[in-house]
Amino acid sequence: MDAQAATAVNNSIEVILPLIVVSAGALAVLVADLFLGPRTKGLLAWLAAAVLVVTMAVAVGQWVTFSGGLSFSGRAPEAGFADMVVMDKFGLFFVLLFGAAGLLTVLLGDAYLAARGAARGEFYALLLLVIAGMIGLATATDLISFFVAFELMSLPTYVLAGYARRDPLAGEASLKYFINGAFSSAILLFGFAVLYAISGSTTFSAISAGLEEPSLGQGAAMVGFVLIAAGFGFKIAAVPFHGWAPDAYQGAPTPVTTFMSVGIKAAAFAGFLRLFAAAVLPAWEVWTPILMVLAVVTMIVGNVLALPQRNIKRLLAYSSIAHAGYLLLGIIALGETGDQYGSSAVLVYLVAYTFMNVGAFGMLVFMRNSRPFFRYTLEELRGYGRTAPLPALALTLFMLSLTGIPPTAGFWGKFYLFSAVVDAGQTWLAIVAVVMSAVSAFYYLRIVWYMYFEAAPDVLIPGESTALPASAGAVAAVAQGDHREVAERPAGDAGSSTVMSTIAADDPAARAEPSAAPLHADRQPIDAHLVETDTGTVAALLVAAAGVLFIGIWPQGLVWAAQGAVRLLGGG
Amino acid sequence: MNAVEWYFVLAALLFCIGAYGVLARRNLIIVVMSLELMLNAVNLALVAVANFVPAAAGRGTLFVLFVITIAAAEVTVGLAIIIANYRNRRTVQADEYHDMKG
Repeated sequence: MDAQAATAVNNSIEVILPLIVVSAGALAVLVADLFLGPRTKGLLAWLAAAVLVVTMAVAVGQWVTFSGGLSFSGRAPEAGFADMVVMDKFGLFFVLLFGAAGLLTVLLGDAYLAARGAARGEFYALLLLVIAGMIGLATATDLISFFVAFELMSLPTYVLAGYARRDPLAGEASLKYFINGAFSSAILLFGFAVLYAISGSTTFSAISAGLEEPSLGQGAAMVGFVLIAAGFGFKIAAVPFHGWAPDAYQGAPTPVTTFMSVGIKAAAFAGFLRLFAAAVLPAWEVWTPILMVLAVVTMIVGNVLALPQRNIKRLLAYSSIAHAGYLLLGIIALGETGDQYGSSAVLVYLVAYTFMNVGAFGMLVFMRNSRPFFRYTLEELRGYGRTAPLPALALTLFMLSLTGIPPTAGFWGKFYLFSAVVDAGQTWLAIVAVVMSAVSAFYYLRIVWYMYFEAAPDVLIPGESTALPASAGAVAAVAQGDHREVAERPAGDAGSSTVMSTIAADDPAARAEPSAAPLHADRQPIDAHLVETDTGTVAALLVAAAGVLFIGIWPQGLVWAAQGAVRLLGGG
Repeated sequence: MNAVEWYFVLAALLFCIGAYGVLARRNLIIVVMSLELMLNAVNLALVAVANFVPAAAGRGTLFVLFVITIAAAEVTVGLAIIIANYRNRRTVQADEYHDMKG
């Protein structure tokens, strides 16, 4: 091998270094799982976290030493493997975001899995593989590497959704997610084939050049972009391709749902943002109207369907559909103006959304871990503000942020997105978005209403009232670091029903599930003693809350980072 | 119409047959088979472009190799999920899976 080829290989390796670290980490977790006994399985979470920290450190190092000054739509010195991948600031930005989302998921997942006695090795290995796919997607500059990364991200997610495989709901979630996901991948792939036929290449930069003089007519381009938009819409759960999302989100284990709603969505937006900016921007007149229809329908239907939901997990699923609609506005702004303001708004929004949505779903994990009978219904939140003031405050913060009320991260995310679309001359889209945000306030703030203004039930109903003191106990336990000690102490300060409920919680008969759905593992009471401590969940919640407040108070730092990330993305 | 367009029509027909199978058939095994048919229809389109469009030679055949590999991985995961579900419910009929609604 001559020196030039060797340099090229070295460059290529450097380009995918974060990807290598994550993939090797996934294999290391799998191998380590074989050698660890039941008592030491907890180390796997630390190993997975360490892998993610190293990945993020590598990304920070590459960001700091980044030397590029060329256009990065495929021909930069940092492009590797025959222009298949590129590691620019855009890619590094998303490596950091995915690493953060992965770390939060590891924190949330550990106590949740331990409480169910579930195997943990595969969970972290699959999680790291998904992150590898996500990094590949954010750095792909060719339809081939794009599709490979897209599938590397999707396939382990189908498995993760059904991770609680004895739970029929999780199985159903996994099945629906798989069929819809595979169907959408095939549609996307046909769109890629059409794009390849029109432009004569699969590399983004060459597609961009080929679209200036397309070999087929406008009709073919239309078909191609409708197919690509459909594949994209499936992955981000945009209406009318959202059918799988509520079921998959509800049935999957909550930490997985958290990761699906933030990580997969962010990765899909990263990949398609680069595709739209670097490859198909010349054909913007064809695809912008398609995305406009998608965005409007998604914002309206997502928010309206969230209104009647009583199951909080399902409600948050519809809310995440609605947020996909807002995010599409950024790509529309990119298409309309050709400059990168819309792209940077998407990045800002994705970071804000990651923190607030991890927080919202993390609260569900927390409540589920601390209340053996929690079924994710609104009614169970009654009196939560009184029995557990701090968690209730945290949930309130996340709901305010999801609504978009200052000074939270959600406000700035929406601010930049909506102003981007106004700058692009599509004020009507911003108006639709603002109106639908107002609609969303109704269901977000209803959660807050239930916690503070609906009285806690004082009749002892099996499966509901036992949950309240348990949660109070868990809060105290987190504060004091020992769950068992607190659980056995008759805590007289947690409300009038405490003593009765403590007795009920110790009574095996009261633990028995009402006969409605005996098979549903995720609905069965978990063994509270197995939740050794909920430190991980609390840490994740604290990080999420800190992120939401930090971005809410000082968004400028994030905006600078996002603008730096998209500067060389391609286009104008 | 030139040769590429004829191949694209054939690929689109196969693709639609596959899509119909996914949407209309109830047996999950047949659904997975239909998914494979959709992917293979795309493969046909990709090779046709690679063969008949001079400027596009090369990458299309490369793409097909990746798609074949991914299709194999996909069907593996899919069948595993179907088996896991079969153990819970003893059925591979899609319309038996309707616990969640709304």
